[in-house]
Amino acid sequence: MHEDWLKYQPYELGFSKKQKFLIEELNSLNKRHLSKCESFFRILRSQNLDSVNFKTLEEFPFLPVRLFKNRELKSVTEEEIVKTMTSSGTSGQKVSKIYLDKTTALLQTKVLTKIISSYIGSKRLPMLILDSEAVVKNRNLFSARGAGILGFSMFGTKRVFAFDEEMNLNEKVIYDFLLAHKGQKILLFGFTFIVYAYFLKSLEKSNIRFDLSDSILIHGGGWKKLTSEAISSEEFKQRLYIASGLKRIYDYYGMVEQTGSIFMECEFGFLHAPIYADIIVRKAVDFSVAEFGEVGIVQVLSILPLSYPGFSLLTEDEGFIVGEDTCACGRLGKYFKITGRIKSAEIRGCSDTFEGRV
Amino acid sequence: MDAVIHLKEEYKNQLELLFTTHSSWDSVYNEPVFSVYNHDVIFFLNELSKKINKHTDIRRFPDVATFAFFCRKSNLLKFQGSSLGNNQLQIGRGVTFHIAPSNVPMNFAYSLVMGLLAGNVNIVKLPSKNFDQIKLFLDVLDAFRREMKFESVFSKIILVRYNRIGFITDFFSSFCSNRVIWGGDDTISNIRKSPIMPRAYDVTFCDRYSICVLEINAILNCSNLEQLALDFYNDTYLFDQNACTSPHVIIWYGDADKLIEAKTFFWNAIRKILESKSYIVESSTVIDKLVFAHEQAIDGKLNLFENKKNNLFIADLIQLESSISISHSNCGYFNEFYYDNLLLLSAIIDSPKYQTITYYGLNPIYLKNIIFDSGLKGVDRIVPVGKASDFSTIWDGYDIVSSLSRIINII
Repeated sequence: MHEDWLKYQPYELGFSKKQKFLIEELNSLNKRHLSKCESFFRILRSQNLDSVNFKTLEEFPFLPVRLFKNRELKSVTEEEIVKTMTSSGTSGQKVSKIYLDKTTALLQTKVLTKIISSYIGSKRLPMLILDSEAVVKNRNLFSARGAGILGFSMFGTKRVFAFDEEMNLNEKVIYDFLLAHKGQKILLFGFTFIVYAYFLKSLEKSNIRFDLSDSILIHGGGWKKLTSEAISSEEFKQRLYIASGLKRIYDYYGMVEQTGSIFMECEFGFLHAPIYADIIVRKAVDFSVAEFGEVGIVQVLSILPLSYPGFSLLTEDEGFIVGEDTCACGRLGKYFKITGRIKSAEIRGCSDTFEGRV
Repeated sequence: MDAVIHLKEEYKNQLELLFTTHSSWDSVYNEPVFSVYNHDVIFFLNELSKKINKHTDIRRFPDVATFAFFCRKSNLLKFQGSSLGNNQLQIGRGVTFHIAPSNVPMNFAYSLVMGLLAGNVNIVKLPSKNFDQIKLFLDVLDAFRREMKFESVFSKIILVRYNRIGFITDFFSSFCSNRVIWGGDDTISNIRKSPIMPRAYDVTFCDRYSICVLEINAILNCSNLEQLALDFYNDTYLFDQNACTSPHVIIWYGDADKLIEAKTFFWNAIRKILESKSYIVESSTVIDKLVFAHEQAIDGKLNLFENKKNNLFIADLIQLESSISISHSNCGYFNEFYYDNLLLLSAIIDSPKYQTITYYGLNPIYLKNIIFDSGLKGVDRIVPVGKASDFSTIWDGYDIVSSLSRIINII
């Protein structure tokens, strides 16, 4: 990656300049993976795209993100791998395996730092992690939840976990922590469904009244298994405010397949593409590009994946782009909303009567 | 007298009795059987057919209309004529327990008709999902029964619904003379955990695959390409290419020089029909198809794949292997391959997993000869494009009516 990238602020570049930079960077990534990853070469060759120089972002081919669950895709040798990231899957499910070399891992950290600093400032803050230490202690499997916590931990000092091993709220620990850092800005981090199901709900059920009005909460990961319980982002924020005084709450959209170049929410509730990444929304009917405002399948682009061919991915999420360079928060680049996971289809046919056995 | 056959109290509330004229399972077990193609059964079905056609909602459900058409007397007598056994000496065996697939609304009804034509008493497990088609069928059947005609036929129909396979399956299996199991391999092995009587047996319809053979010059000279495309659509897209009869592999045969021209000609016609039928693929299926194409590419199976629109993926294979159909996609995903010599087919279809070959522009006897000359273990049906899902009493290699009945030998 061009060192130039790190000179800019994450939301500094407008459409034409960002477009030009990204296309150049992605073309060079594309060539790199074509020569270093046989599987990637075969995929592009099977679409007659193995010797194309792409002229627009929309022309870049995309891999379905599930492919990283079913096949091993890497553009480095075994010796160069320093870390293997896995997605959080429920038991029995296949997990994505993402192979990182030193350069990619370092880039991810640098870029994440640029993005988060633009929200919390460049100084590290006392940090309250809304999860249990058990998630990071067991490093046999480098899960997305553990990786997220470790990734964000570098923005905090005096880190404290809000829950014990059984996911009970550690009231005493939190009180002491808040007392020790009274008057200071505090960073809270957690996964959306943990923040909701364990943190917010315990606060609402009990008489505990923490004052978090000076704190910043960053949360991500979506609703996962709790989709039936999912509440709107507005309700989520409102209830957190009532229960704890929290005002600055930022969701982020990201995935283990493109760690680092995450999409952060702004003060107006929109997710923003930083200069290192972009988003395209496609129609299911023919993968053509959807209009702004039109819900479709989300494609994510990132210039960070050097060690695996994951720079252009078709996700299994749906969303819509609100606009580009025009958000009232002042950040340039595309801004968007995620509306949920794609629904699974009910297919006709005669091959299935399987209903389990009691 | 105490009931001999009874379902334990604790399971009774898990069983929904949708239709029966019996007050006990003993009475079901003791119900007499009919000879095959019994007159009453044929007249009953013919009248059922008329009543279904008169239902106000019938236009909404082409699959129910097709079933009604199937049950006409003239159609049933045609099957009787083509039956292999001696109808006069064939008679039912007892209780047939049918397990219908969960995602084809009307399949249960065809299975029931086969059981009735075989002369048996039928306990049919319906899909747990309450399809509108099934509601319509039950409406008609209930009204018909109130006419107090065909009582000996009605007493051979027991329709049930229950959720999970287990005790209730054990119960019906314990006294049936044969089981008809539709659905996938997993279902069959699951049902087979429930023991049946020594003389009872299963007639199973398992996961099977089909292919299509197109002759290049015939396609290029086709005078009614629109009809051919519609026929192909009905074989495949009508059931989201997920029926065992829907081809996943297209074999092009003939003049290699005209191959590309024929492909373009044919697939453009398919695209047109997809447009006119507004066949839409849901996002999750689109991604399934895309993942499948990428995996095929990674595994070195593809020359090229193309998806101008996501309702039609065409994958050009590097080589054809017998396993090609076993792992497959659906909702419009076709693997294609060219043969200059159809004898090469024998390496592909020599597997009991292959069910139907649909053909266009060649003599089916030639395809039959390939199977007989090489002694192949696959393919039970050779039908023109458009007829892949036409149901008949001869299906999946069985004469179903004969398979469910017994033949009396008199010397």
